[in-house]
Amino acid sequence: MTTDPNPSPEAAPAARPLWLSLLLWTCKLGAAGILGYAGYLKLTSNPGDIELFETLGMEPFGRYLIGGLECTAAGLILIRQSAVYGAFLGLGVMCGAIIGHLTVLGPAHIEGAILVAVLCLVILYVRRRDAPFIGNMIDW
Amino acid sequence: MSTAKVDLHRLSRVANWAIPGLAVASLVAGMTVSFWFHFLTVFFLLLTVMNLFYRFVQTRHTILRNFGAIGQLRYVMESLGPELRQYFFSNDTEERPFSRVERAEVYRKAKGIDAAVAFGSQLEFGPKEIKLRHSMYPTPHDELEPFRLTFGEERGIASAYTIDKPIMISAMSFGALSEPAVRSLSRGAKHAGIAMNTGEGGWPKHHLEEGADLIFQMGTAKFGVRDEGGLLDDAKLRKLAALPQMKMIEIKFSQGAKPGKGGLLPKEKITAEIAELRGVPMGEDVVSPPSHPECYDNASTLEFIQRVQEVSGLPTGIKFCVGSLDQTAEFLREMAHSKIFPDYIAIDGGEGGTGAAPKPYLDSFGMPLMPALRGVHTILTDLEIRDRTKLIAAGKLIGAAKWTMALAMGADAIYSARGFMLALGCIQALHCGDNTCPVGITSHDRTLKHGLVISDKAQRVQQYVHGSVHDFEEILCSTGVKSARELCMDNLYVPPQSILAGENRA
Repeated sequence: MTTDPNPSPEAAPAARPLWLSLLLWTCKLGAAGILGYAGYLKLTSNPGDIELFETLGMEPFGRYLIGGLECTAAGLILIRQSAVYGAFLGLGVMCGAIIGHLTVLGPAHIEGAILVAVLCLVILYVRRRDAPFIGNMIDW
Repeated sequence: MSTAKVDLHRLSRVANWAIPGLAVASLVAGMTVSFWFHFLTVFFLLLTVMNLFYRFVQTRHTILRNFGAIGQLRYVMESLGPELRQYFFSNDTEERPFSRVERAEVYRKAKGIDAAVAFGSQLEFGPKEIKLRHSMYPTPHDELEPFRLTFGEERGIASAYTIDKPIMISAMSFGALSEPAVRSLSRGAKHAGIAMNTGEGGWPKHHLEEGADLIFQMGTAKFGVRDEGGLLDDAKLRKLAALPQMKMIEIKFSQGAKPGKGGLLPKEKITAEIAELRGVPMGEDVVSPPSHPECYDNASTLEFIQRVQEVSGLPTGIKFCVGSLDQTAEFLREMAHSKIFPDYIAIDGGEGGTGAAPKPYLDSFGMPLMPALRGVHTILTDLEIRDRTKLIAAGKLIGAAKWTMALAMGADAIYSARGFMLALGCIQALHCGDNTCPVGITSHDRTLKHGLVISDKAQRVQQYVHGSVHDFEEILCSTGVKSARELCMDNLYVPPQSILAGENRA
């Protein structure tokens, strides 16, 4: 015998089932698509977004900042090694959007932000072991 | 009188309430002052969730359960500790296993720059310090005889192998080392004109391609020459030994990093190529057995040595770390009795080597090199068989002065592994076993290997050998001997407190 008879449980991580991979990629493409498009509209000064950020009192720098963060999150989500960071960033931006809708903008169109937040949460859950600071503490 | 004291427990309790409190405060500020405050709201909201996870969900870390996010600071500080100590707080002589002074000497040699230092030694000379004795009448350099040592001459074999420098690269496998590290060493060894041990890594593909003279190491798992049952496959050994670059075979019985235990390659470091060259699966630690199945007592061990000598037709040595000199003496007596002699015996010091090893084995097993080497030399001499084999010393011998001391203790030649790793640019980050070596010497990560440019590092290896051999010759001249063969204990000052005291004049 040349191999360890009692390999540690982490030795051979179980392959992700197909349905979970499909779910993960659906969420990744969905979240990245919506975030990327929303970021693109903000960075290209879409009139609707200008009006929205004027209401929030953050025009124009807030719009550029949020648009940049959304595009960054979209890019990170699509790369395997950084998906969890992208999802975390996307979740943070969407939390801000939801707060904006609940406190200033009104509940209309809040569902988009909630959808992206849920997609990011699913990505975070599936890739939870890659998460910084907490990933190595998760054994479920 | 009370003194100022930071109560971390109380601080953490405050923080555990303050984090959600700050989230609420930011929310209120965002609603009343400016929406920009909601950046803080989101930050503290996510931090609150993480803090709750630390305190109530995860169960692995007590500190985080008790202290929350503040406790994470402990782990951050701890992870930065080795770097902080190495760069800021440790002095030049106290790092282990090699101090900055020792490492800097190798770096200077490898880079071919002036190695002279001024204003005295930085070492503290304790009462156990062994030193070299210089002669009142040093040997003129042109009277120094060239170094020459022939392995296998005792048996009169045609394939006897002669070295003209006392140093050889000790066993480090492809697997333990990365591909560019192996290639740099092999190319550097070829240019420097020294031999390189392949380590226990299976078929030595990268070693061979760079053209150095090779010593094939057969570990207890016999990677590269094993049959399906893990025993020696004569046909494979014969094929390997027939390669023109293959100069010697070494049977490893134990090593200084983990005496009494087989080789270990952590699963993090097993790539598809390594798995193929060794014939092992990926995703599991590769653990070699603690001993050769063919060797269960002294007689069977000697029979096995003889078999390898006959099958390979090459000089065949053995390597072990001495556990007990009494047990070693029994083995050597059997050797004298049976008249079967390995062509060399490599004594590995128990100081721990390059290999990944469980900590008790690194720290607490095996005799240190010098008493072990001296002991084996003395036993061989007493049995009147010292001229039937060669002795190689291995264990932290990274400079010419240490080589000379080992030769004076009884060695005929020197093995060094870590000296050559330092020559390649090792910064002693101590990450050899987890595939994260920052200079790519022991990592198979593409982005970490990127920095190791073979042509440049091969030259460093060559210059390290050149500079160290130059020092060695200078030292020989200063001791007043005409050749390395003349070195003996009289060339050493051994203080009375040393375990080796009594073997020469004080």
